[in-house]
Amino acid sequence: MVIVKRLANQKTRRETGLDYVVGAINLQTPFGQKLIKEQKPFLPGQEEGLRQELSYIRKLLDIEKANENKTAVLLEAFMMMKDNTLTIERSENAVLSVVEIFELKSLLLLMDKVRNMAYEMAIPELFVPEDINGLLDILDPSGDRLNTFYIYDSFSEKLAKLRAEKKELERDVRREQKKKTKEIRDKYGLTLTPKFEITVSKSDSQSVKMINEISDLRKLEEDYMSVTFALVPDEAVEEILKRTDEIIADIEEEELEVREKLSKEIWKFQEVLLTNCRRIGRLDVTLAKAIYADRHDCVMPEIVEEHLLEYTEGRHLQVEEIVRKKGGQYCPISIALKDGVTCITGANMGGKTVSLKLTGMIAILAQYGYFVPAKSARVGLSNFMQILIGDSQSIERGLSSFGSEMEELKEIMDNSKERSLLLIDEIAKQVYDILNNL
Amino acid sequence: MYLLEELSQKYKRISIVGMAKNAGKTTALNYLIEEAMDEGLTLGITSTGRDGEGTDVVTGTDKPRVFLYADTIVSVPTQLYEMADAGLEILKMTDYGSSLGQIMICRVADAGYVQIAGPVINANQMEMCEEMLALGADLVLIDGAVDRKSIAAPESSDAIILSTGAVLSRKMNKVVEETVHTVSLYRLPILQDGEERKQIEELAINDQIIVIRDGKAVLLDITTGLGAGKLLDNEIDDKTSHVFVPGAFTQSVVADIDIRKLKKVTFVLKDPTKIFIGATQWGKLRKRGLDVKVLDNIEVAAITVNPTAPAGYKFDHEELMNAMKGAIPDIPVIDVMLST
Repeated sequence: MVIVKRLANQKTRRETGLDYVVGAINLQTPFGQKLIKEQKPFLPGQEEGLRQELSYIRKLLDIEKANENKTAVLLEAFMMMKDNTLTIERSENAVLSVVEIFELKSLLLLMDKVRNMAYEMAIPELFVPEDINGLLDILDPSGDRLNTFYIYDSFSEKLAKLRAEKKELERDVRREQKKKTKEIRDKYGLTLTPKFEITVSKSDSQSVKMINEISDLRKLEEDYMSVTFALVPDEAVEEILKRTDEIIADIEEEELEVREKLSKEIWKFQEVLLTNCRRIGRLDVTLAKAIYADRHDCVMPEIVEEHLLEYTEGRHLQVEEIVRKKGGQYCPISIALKDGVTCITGANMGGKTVSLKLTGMIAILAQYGYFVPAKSARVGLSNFMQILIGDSQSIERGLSSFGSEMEELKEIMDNSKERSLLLIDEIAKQVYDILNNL
Repeated sequence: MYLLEELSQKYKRISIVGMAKNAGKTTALNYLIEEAMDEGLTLGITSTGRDGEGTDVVTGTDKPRVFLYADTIVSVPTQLYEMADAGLEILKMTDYGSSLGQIMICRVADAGYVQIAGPVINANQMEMCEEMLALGADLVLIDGAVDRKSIAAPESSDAIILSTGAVLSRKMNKVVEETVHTVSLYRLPILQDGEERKQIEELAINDQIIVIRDGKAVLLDITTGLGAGKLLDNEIDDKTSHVFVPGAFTQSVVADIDIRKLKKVTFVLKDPTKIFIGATQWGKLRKRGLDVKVLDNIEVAAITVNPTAPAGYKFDHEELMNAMKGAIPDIPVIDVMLST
């Protein structure tokens, strides 16, 4: 296998429109977005792999066309996914928060949904998330499969007991206070606030005196205008309140233990989870490529062993979009290239540069595993591609157009090997123009 | 006192709006929460700002935290989730962001104190209220803006509970006067459905003033701002019946209009929150014949009164209550510090 630094430099990827297409396909998941940034082109020797990838796109396209509604549900699930890889990694050593576990549970429910949909649609296994119901059962012991989360009683018997006790104590206290409130209303005609307090204006000295003498009420606070009294907690109530505080501390401790346990369980599944994220990412990307190809009348390129490039009725996608928006129609072209020099010539504004770029687009899209915008295409893989279009002046590098072009030419000469695709547009134009005028 | 039950029959979303900071807005909220507990009502609670803060960031007084009972539905941003004393079951993670993280809708599983914060954008707030009602809330309380001017949009709630109190002024009659003024602005009559209203609604796109002359609406090249009054005065003639002012309705807009013309037209505003004219001025203008209608008014469900001011002075409870009740007899008035 030939090892090269890269297939095409940044300028080439941009000028051929690869970046444009990659930006235009609709990815729904953060996993897909991550994956597409990592994508690598197929190089000579990898023709089988590329054919495989292209056939997957074809397969998904067929499935999508046969299952429009199910695809919509799938895409909806994709859209709701969040990238929880950090949480999954954290679960090894840290205790996850309730919010983190909630988000992970949400992701698991979506993974399960995607898995079921994928089965119904007969999507190839490499795109289907593995079964994570084992983990879901742990996070959802009651089996509701609702998209909610809390440290439910069902996680810990101890927790359930503590909470039940706390509720009862709170009920007891409230009951006692309500009883007292009623007593005070019946005996003295006074009504306490829902917080079991009463505020009296000092100008009403009679009431103040009377209330002062009620043993069940004690002064809470006072100022120059009024006095606030509150219900006196008798010994029994005091005891209950103290016990409640203890229970609250115990509950917090137990909740922490449950979270710790859950975090460890999540870590046990980390391989499966990360695999699923990758598979979903791959499904997202491949499906998106398929849908884009369908919308833009792209065809599956035939990958051949010889180094050639042929296509019929090719269309430059970027230019086509612009032309369409203006209400016009793009005029497709057909080309057949073999090793050697092919020269495109013609009148100004005839479309020479666009044809050059289009040729690059079809070649590079094919090698990156996309369908191409043509009626048919036969592509042999290249080791190296470069486009040289005469706008190379570089202020950053302190080079004039001519200087830059010479540098780029040098780059081409250094890097070209067997099976290169070089797209050169009016090289050294300025020099030629000067010579022309002499 | 079954105030809450009555309210929940008429309204589904109630904003609690304070006339100023420390007017007792959060005390009112706590009061209503207790009432709900007693009456067996499920509340949805959200906020247009962060509340339940330990200490008020502006005046430094102790703000009471919000104690929520089990089954209450509440909006909590992720960063405040761990800080809550209450046990909260996460029901939904929304797309609404806030400075404290994404907003979640939770159900209180275990009663306790909570700090609430809700969505900042009005449209999101409205969506959230719908979700809470769908999740089982009988009534949604929105702990609202600090002062009446910042009710973002009247359509975000069905009615408001207005919180007022001693913080407004050291003179009790001033407190009553300001409150009455605000309530009367909120209750300004609505411009009824008809030709004029239809035309105004169709034509109103930005901040430009519209006049209706001879029954036809005309978009003027004037927006509210400096000098608008004089320009507007020129545009009002014998045939003008209505003037629609979309922006702020201030003293300066009205001051330069000929008093004879003032009497003859009806000013139309989007809603009462657009009015920035004080009680005294307003009174004078009304005497001179100012007629104002609104496209949307604000229903005041109840008024809560706090006799304490953070500066330390207090009014006599009974005196303040009686003065307020006397001035606004048809709206329930509650003193949230006093027993009934």
